[in-house]
Amino acid sequence: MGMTGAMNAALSGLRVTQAQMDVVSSNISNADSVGYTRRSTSIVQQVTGDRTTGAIATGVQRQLDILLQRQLRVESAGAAYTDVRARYARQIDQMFGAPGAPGSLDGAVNAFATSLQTLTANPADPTARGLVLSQAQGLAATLNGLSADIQALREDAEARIGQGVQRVNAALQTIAEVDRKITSNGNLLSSNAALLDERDRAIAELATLVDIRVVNMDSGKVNIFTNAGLQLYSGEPSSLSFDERSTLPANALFTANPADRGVGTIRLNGAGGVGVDIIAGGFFRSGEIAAEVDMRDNVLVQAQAQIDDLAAALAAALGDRSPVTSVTTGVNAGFDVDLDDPAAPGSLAMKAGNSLAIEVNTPLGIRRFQMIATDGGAPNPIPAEYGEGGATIIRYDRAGGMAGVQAALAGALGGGFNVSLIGNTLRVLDNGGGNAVNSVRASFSTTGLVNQGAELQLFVDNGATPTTFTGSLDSVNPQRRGFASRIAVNANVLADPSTLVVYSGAPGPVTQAGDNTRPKLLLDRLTNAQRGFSVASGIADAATGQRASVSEFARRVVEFQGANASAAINTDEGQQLVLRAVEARFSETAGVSIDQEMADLVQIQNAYAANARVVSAISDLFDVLLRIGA
Amino acid sequence: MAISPLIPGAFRSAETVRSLRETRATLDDLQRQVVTGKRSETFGGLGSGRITSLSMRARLSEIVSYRETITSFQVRAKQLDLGLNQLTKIGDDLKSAGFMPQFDPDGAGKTTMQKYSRGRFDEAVDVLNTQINGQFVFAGRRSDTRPVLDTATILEGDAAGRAGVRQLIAERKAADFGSGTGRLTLGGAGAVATLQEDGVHPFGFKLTAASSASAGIAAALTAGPPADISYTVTAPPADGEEVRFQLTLPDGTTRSLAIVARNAPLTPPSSAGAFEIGATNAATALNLRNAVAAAIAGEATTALPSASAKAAADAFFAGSLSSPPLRVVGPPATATALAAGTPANTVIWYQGDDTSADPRATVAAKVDTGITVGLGVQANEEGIRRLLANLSVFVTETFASGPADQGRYQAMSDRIRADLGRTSGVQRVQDIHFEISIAASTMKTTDERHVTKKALVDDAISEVEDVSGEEAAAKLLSLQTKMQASYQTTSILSRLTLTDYLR
Repeated sequence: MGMTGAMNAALSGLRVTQAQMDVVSSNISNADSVGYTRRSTSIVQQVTGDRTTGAIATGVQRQLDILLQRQLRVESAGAAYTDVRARYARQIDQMFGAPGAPGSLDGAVNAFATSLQTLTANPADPTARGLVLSQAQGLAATLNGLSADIQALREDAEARIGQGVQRVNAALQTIAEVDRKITSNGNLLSSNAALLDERDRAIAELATLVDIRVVNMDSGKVNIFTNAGLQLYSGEPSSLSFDERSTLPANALFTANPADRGVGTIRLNGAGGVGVDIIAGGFFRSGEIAAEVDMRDNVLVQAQAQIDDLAAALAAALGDRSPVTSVTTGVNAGFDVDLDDPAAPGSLAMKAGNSLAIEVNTPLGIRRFQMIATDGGAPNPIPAEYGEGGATIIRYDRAGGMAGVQAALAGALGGGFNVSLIGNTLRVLDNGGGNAVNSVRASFSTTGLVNQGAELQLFVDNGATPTTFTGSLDSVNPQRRGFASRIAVNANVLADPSTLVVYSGAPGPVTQAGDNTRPKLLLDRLTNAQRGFSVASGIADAATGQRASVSEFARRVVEFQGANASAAINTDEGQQLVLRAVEARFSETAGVSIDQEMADLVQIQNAYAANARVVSAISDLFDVLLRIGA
Repeated sequence: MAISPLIPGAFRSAETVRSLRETRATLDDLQRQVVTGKRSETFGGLGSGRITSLSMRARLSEIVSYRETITSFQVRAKQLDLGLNQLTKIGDDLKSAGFMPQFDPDGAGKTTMQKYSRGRFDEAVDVLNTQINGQFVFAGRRSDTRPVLDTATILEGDAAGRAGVRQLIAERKAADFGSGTGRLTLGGAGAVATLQEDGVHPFGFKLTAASSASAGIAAALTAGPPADISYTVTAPPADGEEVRFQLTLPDGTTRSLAIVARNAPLTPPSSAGAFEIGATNAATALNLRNAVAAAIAGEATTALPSASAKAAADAFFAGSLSSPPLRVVGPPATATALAAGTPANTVIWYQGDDTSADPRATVAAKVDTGITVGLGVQANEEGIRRLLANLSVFVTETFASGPADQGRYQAMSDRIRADLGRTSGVQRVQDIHFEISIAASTMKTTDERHVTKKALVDDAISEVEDVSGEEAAAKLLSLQTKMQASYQTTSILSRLTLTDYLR
């Protein structure tokens, strides 16, 4: 190699160090940039013919572990999901109040029970009566507040889904733009590194929102699918749309049917399927949006169902009669149920939504039936979630009158039992042969305040027009749904607190002021009497038909939500830990280390100095040569 | 904490900052724990202690409400104790009133003790109208109504023409007295002497037994009604032999009268206790007839009036809103029936609850899971009613000076003493008092148990909800040390960069 060759080689070395300097300086300046991956220059020898004529920087490479990057995307979707869950769980947990605080749900129930106990001791005391009413109002207000909080959280979730959809669209837009540039740049690798970083940044953003799978194409473009298989991006930007609702009452629920849907849904418009309903299809399984949807449509709906169930139990336990007496005729035992309505003698006492629960023992085991009355509008058959756990639901149209009750029950119970109607009394007897009627429980709403037994309709449904809570399933939305937001103390009782004690009146004798029959019954129904709760509440015991008192149920709701909160927070902590571990490993290769860059810089400086020295040496040599000629 | 976008180059330092931030949050939480003494602000944060907290809090509120009930019931029990004590004392005073040696009726016919007892009557009514927080404690469940009317109305009736106890006593007395023989017809002819009830009615003397100790006089009782007694003289009785007959008085007490045969001459030949044995059987029978008449006349003016008064007073005080007192129907002297008065014509002294079989249960509350105490008392309970009936008899009677009225006064006092002194088969004020005392002592022991239980429950709650100050402070201290170390290390390490050493 001649001197010119050496000169060229040294100059190529200078060019290479120049390129390296560019990368190092870019690394250092972007050490704190989002999504910036450390770059390095790859240097190869320049070969001319069979000889090395110098060095050349072939390109800038991103220091990136593809496998870890994929894992990172999966984990960030998971972490975003658990993060959202934990955030809501904390808020729900806080809603139920601090242990022992006056505003907490269990505190309100306990205070109400205490006031009733005080009233049983001093039924005529106006202060005790007033206290019961104010505690009842407090309890109703607590339920109203919880319901409002839950619905506010749902509205929050709805809004966040909207924001999430916008962010998804923005990310998809960015990806599409970068993809276009990448292809138009051809093989300009150094600028591609920046574009790839930009695209990865958008994908990373997308990965926190939606669980995605990214397929790299040979063309340099990407295809993006959700894990459930929906293609979000394939070279062409597709966009999501979300028909956000501004208010979400308790009865605004998600259904696949757009006509019944009370909440927004996400649709995919563009390539890969036009107008696909993503929520109905379950295409988002993880990520922030899926979590928000899960909150809006499941977790918060269930929390609402629990307090609705509590409100319903409260209204029914205090206000519903159960005119059941046990009866034995000969060897057969069973129960009598008085079907007569004291407010309208001769008509069926069972109002729409009222129920008659029967538990029988047969040689095949225990069987439970629950007859739920309707005026014709209830779904047919009535979904199991509206019934008590483990019961076969008998839908009964009230038009059939008392005789119809007998016929329907006889049909359901079958030959092992004898169901008869004697006057207005329904008699359910076993028929020998190892059959037995274990229990019959009626829940018939009272309609007035006196002369209907000691039960008191203390809580009513304070909807557009205040009505009795019967649990009716007749309208599109069951009365129970969102009842917690409407429950209120009966205005007639508020207007006349003596009705807390006076349960009988003209034409019969008027209950005496000091008679504690009614307060005692109310207290017993609240704290002692066992009730079944609907399956919709999701509280484990309800599903097996196990029963609890109203106050016990309230505690279970708090316990359920508390356990949920701590579980969600624990899961999230675990998930965040996993995410950070992956991030740490990813950052080990992809992160810029200033020390590393500095060391590289020293090296580059040395290399530059050496190359320059070569140039200078050659220059000296040339000088010597030129002096020879002079 | 939302997911923050990854900055690979700054991950390490971001991690350090994040962990410092988390430690700082823990520090803040520990500080909160030290300040509030509470492990967590939410149920979620209590961990597995949540169930304990919830159920113990429910238990606690139950205990607290039981204790509140006990507190309010103890006030009631104390009031009842005072009131019943006073009623017992009034009864005791009344029993001894008749022992006062002097019989000193004034111009209005009242002895000193009667005037004194009138005051005690007021006192008793006052006790029975005791209120706590506006609630009448002697009214059973009708605690919003003053249970007992004032003494004057009870005794004298009211302006609306409702009869008081004095009028009922007068009516009954007249009905029982009849024409002076206590509604008996005395007769007989020849060798026979007879006593006969003058009809089938509840008034006057009732003939319930007759006997003769003499072989010469045959006694015969026809039970009736109307009952009659005949004595037939078949032979002269011996001196000292007696005939007996028994009168049942309107208040249920009995009087056994003996008339002794005496040899002639006896002056007078017939008196309330003896008769002269005549020459013939018919003469003996005549003397016997006269002696019976004298005996009956004596009883009709001494024992009968106070018995009548007692019967009338009993009936009056047995009356209630749902069953007004029985009164004499028609002109008293010839009346043959009692019929319930109406609230329009008779004072109903007791306005309270009268529908419960067990007065104690009218005010009852649970003081523990399985313990119910009853502190209901009704002013019309038998013991109290009887006290008032006797009081009203004692204060309404009037007397003139003289041995005849002194005998009547004595008869009345004896009767009152005997009635108030009854112990078996009847309820006394003391019995009510005893039941209230038992309830009070039940409450006392229950409350003591509640105090113990409350302490246990408080402990259990504290165990799960509270954090010990020492523990939290120790944690805080060690965490503080750790953080200081972390800060120092972080600061040292962050300064440690190659950049500084390259020149």
